[in-house]
Amino acid sequence: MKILLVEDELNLLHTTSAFLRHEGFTCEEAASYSIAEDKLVVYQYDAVILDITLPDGNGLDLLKKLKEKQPDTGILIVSARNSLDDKLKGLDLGADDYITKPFFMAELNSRVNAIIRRRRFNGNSSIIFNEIEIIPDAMQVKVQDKSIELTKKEYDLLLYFVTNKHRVLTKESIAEHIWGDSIDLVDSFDFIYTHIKNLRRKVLQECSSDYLQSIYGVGYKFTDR
Amino acid sequence: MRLLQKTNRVYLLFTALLLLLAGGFLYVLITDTVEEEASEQLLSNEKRIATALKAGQQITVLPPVIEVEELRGRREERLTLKDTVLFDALEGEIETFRQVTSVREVNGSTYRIVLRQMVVERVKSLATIGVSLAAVLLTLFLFLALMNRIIYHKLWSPFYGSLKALKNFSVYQNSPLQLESGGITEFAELNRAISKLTEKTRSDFRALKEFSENASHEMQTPLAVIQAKLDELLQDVALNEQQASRIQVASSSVQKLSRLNQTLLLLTKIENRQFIYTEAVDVSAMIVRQLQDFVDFIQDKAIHVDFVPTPALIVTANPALAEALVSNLLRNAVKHNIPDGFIFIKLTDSSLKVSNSGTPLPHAPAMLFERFQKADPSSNSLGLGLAIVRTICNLYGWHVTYETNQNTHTLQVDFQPSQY
Repeated sequence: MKILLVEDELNLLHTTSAFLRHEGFTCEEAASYSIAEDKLVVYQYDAVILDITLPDGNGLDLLKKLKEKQPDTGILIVSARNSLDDKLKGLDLGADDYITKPFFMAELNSRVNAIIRRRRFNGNSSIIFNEIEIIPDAMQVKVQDKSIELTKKEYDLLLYFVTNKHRVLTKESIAEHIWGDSIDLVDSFDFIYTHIKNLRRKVLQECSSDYLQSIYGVGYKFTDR
Repeated sequence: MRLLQKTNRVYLLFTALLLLLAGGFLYVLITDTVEEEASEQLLSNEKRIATALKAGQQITVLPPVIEVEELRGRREERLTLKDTVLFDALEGEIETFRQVTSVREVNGSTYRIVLRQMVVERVKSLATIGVSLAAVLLTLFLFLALMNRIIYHKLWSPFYGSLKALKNFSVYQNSPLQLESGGITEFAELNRAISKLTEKTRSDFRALKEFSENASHEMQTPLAVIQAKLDELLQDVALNEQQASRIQVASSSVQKLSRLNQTLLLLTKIENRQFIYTEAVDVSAMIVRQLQDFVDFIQDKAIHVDFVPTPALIVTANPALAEALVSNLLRNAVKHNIPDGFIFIKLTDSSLKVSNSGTPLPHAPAMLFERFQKADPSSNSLGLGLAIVRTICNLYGWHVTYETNQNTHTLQVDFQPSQY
């Protein structure tokens, strides 16, 4: 999977691209509008992660050009503005999704994976983790070929864990992924424990080992290592 | 009082005073001249008669104007000039006459000559002068009134135009003020000053708007770098519990700072009236949707929600702001609720009332809508929710009120002013 990362803040560019490479993507960096423009002429990408505020041009213009040249490429807009206008404009121009700075790496990973799944396989691919199989298009989960009934939240939770396997996920990033902005309604993220408990009971008890490790009360790590 | 009226009033007052002075002067001058002329004429006629007598001519007597009488005995020659009042049979009234009386010796005889000439009465001349001056004053007044109309409509029209433009001026407008001077230097100068002032206001406002947006925008990227680095750090397998928990606290603070930044930006944008687009918003449908979003949190506290959707309330507003208003009211009711509590939502055709169970307010109810007012200082809350509610209500002229009854808190929004 080849990804182009367009971001003018070099620290963020390098950290994010290192992370994406670690997640198994082939990631190229573009630190400006012009570099990104040049690369898009020459190479094909599965997805472009695009910061729309660039010093030498508007990311939305780049988005338009990209849509003309490579209509099949998935686009994730990154913006420092949590403004509805930008979001709607970006999505109207053909972006697949929108993420606001600052973001959790796991969240970025989830969004990029979702975009590529939709684009490349029309959602028809399953995600396999040992004996667990997730079929995103049908929102279905099988353990050792046995179908398991999950609620929407439990399904989202499992998909998030499997997408970000071998990684420490804070309770906060989990809560934000599942409940979005509403998480500021609770003063403690311990309330996600109820949902994790249900997930354990339904899925992980069927598995050969408990893949979900609790990390010092900070968060969780889904791993078989 | 209009400036024109005021100047005219002063002008008329001074003109009247001047005319009064002129009248007095005219009166003295005219009466003196007339009397002097009359006396001169009488004296010269007297001389003519004396000459005629000397020449032995017969003098035609014409009382009371000319009277010649021969006196017996000798008299000393003399000449007197005075005013006298006689009954004039011809006019049938008493008149004032100037009278010359002389005694002369002509060819050995003594004659007394009396000559009279009717003079204008002082009262009459005074009245005449008064009337004519009053007529002048009246004409002047009428003329001024007419002139005022013309001046008001023609000359001052650029001034009133500028005044109107200034009254309607808003810092949100996109173009500078269009002002006419009508070729008048003072107005052109005034317009220059107005233009300079309004342009400065407009550009300052724009700069402030851009600054607050850019500042909060620029802040998000460094926050993203911090978040990315903390994320990276947390993946280190050599971390111990204490280190991991420190990283998590730092990460939480980054998230909170980011939300704070976004929320303050939202408040600034509302206050700057940057949400121009409006549409008809169904509040009931919005509540149903949002309650669905919050269902996990409501269940977590085992809160009982009492709400019957009624499509009665349609408001005209920006959809994002209406969403923010309803969302903050509901969040507030969920957040400050107690386990096994309740939320009671009531909609009428012009108001939304949200009541919830909770603990008594730790601060004065008046502080409730202030920024950063938090019931629990240690909570994760930003303390900006109700400030947003109030700012949105202020924008649309809606009215938000708070009531408390022991352990029940009620917030009510009246949408009347902007309702269909």
